[in-house]
Amino acid sequence: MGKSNNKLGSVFTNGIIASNPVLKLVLGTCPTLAVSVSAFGALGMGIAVTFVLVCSNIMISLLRNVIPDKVRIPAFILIIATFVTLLQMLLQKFVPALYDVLGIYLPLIVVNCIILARAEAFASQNPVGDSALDGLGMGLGYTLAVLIMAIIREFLGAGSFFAFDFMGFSYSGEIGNLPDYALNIFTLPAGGFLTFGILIAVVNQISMNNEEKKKNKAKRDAKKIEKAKKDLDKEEVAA
Amino acid sequence: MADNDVKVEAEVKTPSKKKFNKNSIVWCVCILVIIGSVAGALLGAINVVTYVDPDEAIISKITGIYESATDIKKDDSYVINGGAYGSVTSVFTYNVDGDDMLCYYAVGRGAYDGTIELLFFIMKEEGIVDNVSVYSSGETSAVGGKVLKVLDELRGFELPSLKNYGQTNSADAQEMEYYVSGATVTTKGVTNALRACAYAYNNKVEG
Repeated sequence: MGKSNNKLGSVFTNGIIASNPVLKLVLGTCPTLAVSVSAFGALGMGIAVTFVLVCSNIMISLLRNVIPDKVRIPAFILIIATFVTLLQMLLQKFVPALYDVLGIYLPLIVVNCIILARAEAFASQNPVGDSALDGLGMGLGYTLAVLIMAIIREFLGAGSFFAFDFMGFSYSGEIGNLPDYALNIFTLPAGGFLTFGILIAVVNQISMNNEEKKKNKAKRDAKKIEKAKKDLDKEEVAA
Repeated sequence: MADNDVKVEAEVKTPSKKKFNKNSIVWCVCILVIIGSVAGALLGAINVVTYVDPDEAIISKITGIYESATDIKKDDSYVINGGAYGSVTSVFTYNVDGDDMLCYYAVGRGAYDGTIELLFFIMKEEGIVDNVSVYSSGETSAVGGKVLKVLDELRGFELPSLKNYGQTNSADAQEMEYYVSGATVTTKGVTNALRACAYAYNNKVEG
């Protein structure tokens, strides 16, 4: 029971940290760079991608034994496109502000390689529960990465923090005189690449440090075990 | 000799049978058709629930901006199109505190993804732009904020003063008072929509 809980936990956290789709696997970079201009848009895109990931993973996992191998890619695309169109209709009707912000990048979720990659690599080979958790973890990992990028770009490029206009509530997010000194390049594609590169470098450095720490700990543990064995041998000889 | 011929034929036929497996092809097609049909039915049902009537959307925009708006009616007699780079799709008449107003739903070509759809709220007697609202656009969110700044500058614009109904080019857009740097293409789309609106107003109301 404990082991299965650990396994489910690792399936969930894998997408958020160890195999973050944006910062570690470098998937779905096109919409990431495009929507990370404002934090509000990035959060909306993250939620949209998470919804489609979870729903398509569940459906593909349910149908994994029925869909023939030869037509699995068209079948996956069909299922993903259905959920994206459904989401598009719901957003247009109930959250038009977010629908306007996401614009062309909303229908483009259909060809987002994160979703197709998880369908092909995980959902088509694993049970429903695991696939749903994998979708949720990957979706949250994507949302986290896009949101961090967007907060940095919005702050440096527009001098604001989480500006939004949503269901009658609006907030300019402008911080003092900062908009007058904003570095416009960060709202442009060049600034997006720059932020993306720096974030990947930081994440890689952190994960390298963690791996080194783990290795050092393993070495220390091995030495301790060896020392304990030697002490035991000496005691036996003395006895 | 005849026996040998039969054997050769059998050898030739066997591999072709393996390659062309009718059952598997039929099964693949059936699965795709079933998934497609279920998806179509689901989306059809959702579409019934989430359908947005364009006229209702415009009326709700009018009542959102003018809370005291009354007598809101669609009047197609105001729809007059002449320019090739912008067009008026529909016009609504309404009354705000005794003043007659017009709402033009105009489409301007030449914007970021091809077109920008705007609602111009016009004071009928004077032909002055009282308000402008975006109905639909393909602008990216970074440009979106700039579009709103452009639209704010259009308030108070007198439609009878506009007589050039041709296409707006980039240089032309930059000469406009409300031009915003970094949104040249958007300004182009907005200007083309404004010209379509002016054409319709000047030919109907101004005579």
